[in-house]
Amino acid sequence: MVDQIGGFGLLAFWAVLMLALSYFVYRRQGVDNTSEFITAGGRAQVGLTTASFAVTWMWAGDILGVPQYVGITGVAGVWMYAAPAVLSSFVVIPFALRMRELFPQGLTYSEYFIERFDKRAHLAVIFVILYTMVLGGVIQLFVGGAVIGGLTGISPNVVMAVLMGVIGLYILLGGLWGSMTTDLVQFVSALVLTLAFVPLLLFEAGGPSGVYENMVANLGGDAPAFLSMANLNAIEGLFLPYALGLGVWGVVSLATWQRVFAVRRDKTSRFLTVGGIGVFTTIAMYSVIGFVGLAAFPEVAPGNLSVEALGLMPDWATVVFLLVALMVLGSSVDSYLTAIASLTSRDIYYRHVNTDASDDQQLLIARVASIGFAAVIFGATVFAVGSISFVQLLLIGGIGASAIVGPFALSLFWHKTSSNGFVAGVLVSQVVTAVLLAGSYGVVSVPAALASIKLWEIMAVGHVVSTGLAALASLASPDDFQFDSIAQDPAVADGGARTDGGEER
Amino acid sequence: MGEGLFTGMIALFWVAEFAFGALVLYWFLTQGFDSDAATAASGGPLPLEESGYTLRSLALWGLFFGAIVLGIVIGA
Repeated sequence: MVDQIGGFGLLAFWAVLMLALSYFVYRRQGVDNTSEFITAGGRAQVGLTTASFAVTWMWAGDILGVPQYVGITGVAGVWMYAAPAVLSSFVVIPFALRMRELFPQGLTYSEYFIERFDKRAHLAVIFVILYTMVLGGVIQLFVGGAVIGGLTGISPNVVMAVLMGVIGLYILLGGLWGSMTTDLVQFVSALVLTLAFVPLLLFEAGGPSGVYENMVANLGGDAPAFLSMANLNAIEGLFLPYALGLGVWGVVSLATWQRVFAVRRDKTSRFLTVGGIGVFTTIAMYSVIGFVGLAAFPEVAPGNLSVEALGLMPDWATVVFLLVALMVLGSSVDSYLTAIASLTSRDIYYRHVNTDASDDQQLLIARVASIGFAAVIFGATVFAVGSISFVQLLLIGGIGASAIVGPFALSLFWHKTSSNGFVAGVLVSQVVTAVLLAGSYGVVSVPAALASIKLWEIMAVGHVVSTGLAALASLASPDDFQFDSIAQDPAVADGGARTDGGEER
Repeated sequence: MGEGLFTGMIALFWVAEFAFGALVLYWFLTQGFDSDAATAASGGPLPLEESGYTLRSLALWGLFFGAIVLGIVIGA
């Protein structure tokens, strides 16, 4: 436990460090046009992008979530928790390569839909991306406020306000360059946690042998199941809903796409591969916190294992742990905020409000949006803390992903995919899954058979409805799209900063 | 899963995490922030990766998923 003064000191240290880094990269990289702000000019090196991608997928909630999974299902909780996040990096590869073939230097992937279909399809995609990205920010802030507030005694609302204020400011300054550079420091911090502090905790609890023996003793008759990697008892509740939702979230997440467009084109699959597999190793190390919890605190509920286990560390280590938690939290929130700022500037303002907007105007809108949506995420999180659970937030994000990924794939690889089919698939899937999810939590009244539907089945329904409807409607009234018609000349592909000041539309 | 396998699993996690972190930091230290020189030399955005490059990435994924399945079977 750290007192409030110590907590504020940590927040101040983190704030100064992040703002200084963002200012450094703002000056170094010359973040003075939309392309640099949104996609780092498409010239980021693979090391920086991989670190940024990986740490964006390392959520602050993982520190609580992975030990909780271990507390519920044992060692199998490691892959049940990690696989959905990792799967996302794998699934996005064919999408990324196809998009970078068609749009060598795109700014936001959602702009593809206006070229492939029309403004109506584009608006449908914007709707889903916007709420999933805001939700992503809310999920991170939700956990951050609870953990940091809980360990320092500072009001969670104050913690969240400070976090969002600082993140909004450094994104305003450096855009994606700011996000990626701070991500690198945050990545190193996460490594310190997993490579130094997790082993320290393990040996504080008696080392691997001591932990194993205590686990076996505490678990009694449950030990064989808890020590089996093939323990599938909780697969329907812990694995399948997230595999079907978060497992494809990378395809929908604008934060992922910004990094896809930021990295050098010739390194696209490499950074997704190394970054994705690396996330698995990090999550696997968090599981050790859960093993220590099972060994040392047999009476503690799975959801509290992490906090109890971390209490075994010396006080100085708790302080450093808090700092690392701040870093990991900031890396994800800043990524979502940059994505929303980009979406507002390019997809909403430039594509629908002012199609003659200059690059300077787009950049200004992106910067204003970074502050405006920081306030929106803060307000939404304050609301969510008292009314929605962390798991519900994750599942709502999952249904957004299930609505888009299938129709998106059809649009990229099947020339007959029509605008009507795409829009129908996305919107009908959203409505169906939202009603089913709300019904399963008793928020709306649905027939008893539907109210008892499992969460993973809701996600599966989302995929089947979106993909099936898009395919059927396209078969009934097929398009004959010529992909060559949108394949862009790399030199003028971004539609943004041209040396003659004009636009490419 | 016996004690030896449990200890080995944690050691494997640590080594894999160390290797991942070392690789990414090595890339950053040797390549830096951006690829201005390579971009300038190519006269525009760099070409898309070659198919052999993509296949190597997919092979890595294959090894990774294979290792997970193997771990589940051995650790059952």
